[in-house]
Amino acid sequence: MEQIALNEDIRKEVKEIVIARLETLNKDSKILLLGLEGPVSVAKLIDEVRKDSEFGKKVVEVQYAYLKMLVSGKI
Amino acid sequence: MKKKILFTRPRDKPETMYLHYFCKELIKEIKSVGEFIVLDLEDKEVTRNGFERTIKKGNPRLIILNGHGSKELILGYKDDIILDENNINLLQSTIIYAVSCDTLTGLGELAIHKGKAEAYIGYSSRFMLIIDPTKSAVIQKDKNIEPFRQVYIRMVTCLISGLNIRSSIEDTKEFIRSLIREYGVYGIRDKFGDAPLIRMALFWNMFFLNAYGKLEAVI
Repeated sequence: MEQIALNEDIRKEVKEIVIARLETLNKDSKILLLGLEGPVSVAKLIDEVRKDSEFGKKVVEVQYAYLKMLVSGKI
Repeated sequence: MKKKILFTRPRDKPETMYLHYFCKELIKEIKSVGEFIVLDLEDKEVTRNGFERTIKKGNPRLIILNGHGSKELILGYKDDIILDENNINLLQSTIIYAVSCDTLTGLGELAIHKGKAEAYIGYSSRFMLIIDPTKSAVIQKDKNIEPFRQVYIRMVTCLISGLNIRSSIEDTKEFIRSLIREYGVYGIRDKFGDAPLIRMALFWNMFFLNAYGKLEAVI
């Protein structure tokens, strides 16, 4: 899968779109992660995106790839 | 001579409980077909010693690792480190599918270059599952988890059906795309609004699913 490198301006715009998308989701839903940390909620995910954590940045990049794929009709 | 498949499936945390459930019917089915011998390391058996002993004695061709992980390690029961750089040589000539966070970049590369594994399939970031917390006592009734279970079964089925690593991954990714499309029109039946989140997590897992090693290898 193509890795995404967003320039800073685009990343900021995409970040706002991603937050808006995430805010439409059920905030109580649980996301289980098979890493060394515990489960996260959607609210926590939004928080990670807002504060630009490494995980939050990845969420933005993957969501951008997802949106591109939707627009291209590949999915 | 029948080839062997090793499953490690601890069930000591919510996350591993779901993966344990994913394997349950699959293992039963593989056993009933009888083409492969299943080595099933479950719960308290998933210790470093148990893992090492089973590989040395059983010599599995395919190893399916379910558990928490990082770039450096995979955990078994009660956080016992079952795989890291120090025992990576046990993976020699095997094919691994690690359902765990982050292990592909790091442990996966090490498995190929130092451990001489034939191929390592895994995820280069976190592995996500979406659950319905109200169904955690009876996970069979959790509809959110079903697409993730289907993807898991698809990947393993591709591998044991004789598809090579590359084709197994491509087929599984295509299957994920079809699920994303299906969940895209799911909204009307989705009273809790979880379908968009499920789509997001399916895409996330697809995005980071990949493999190192000989991608033309077959079980």
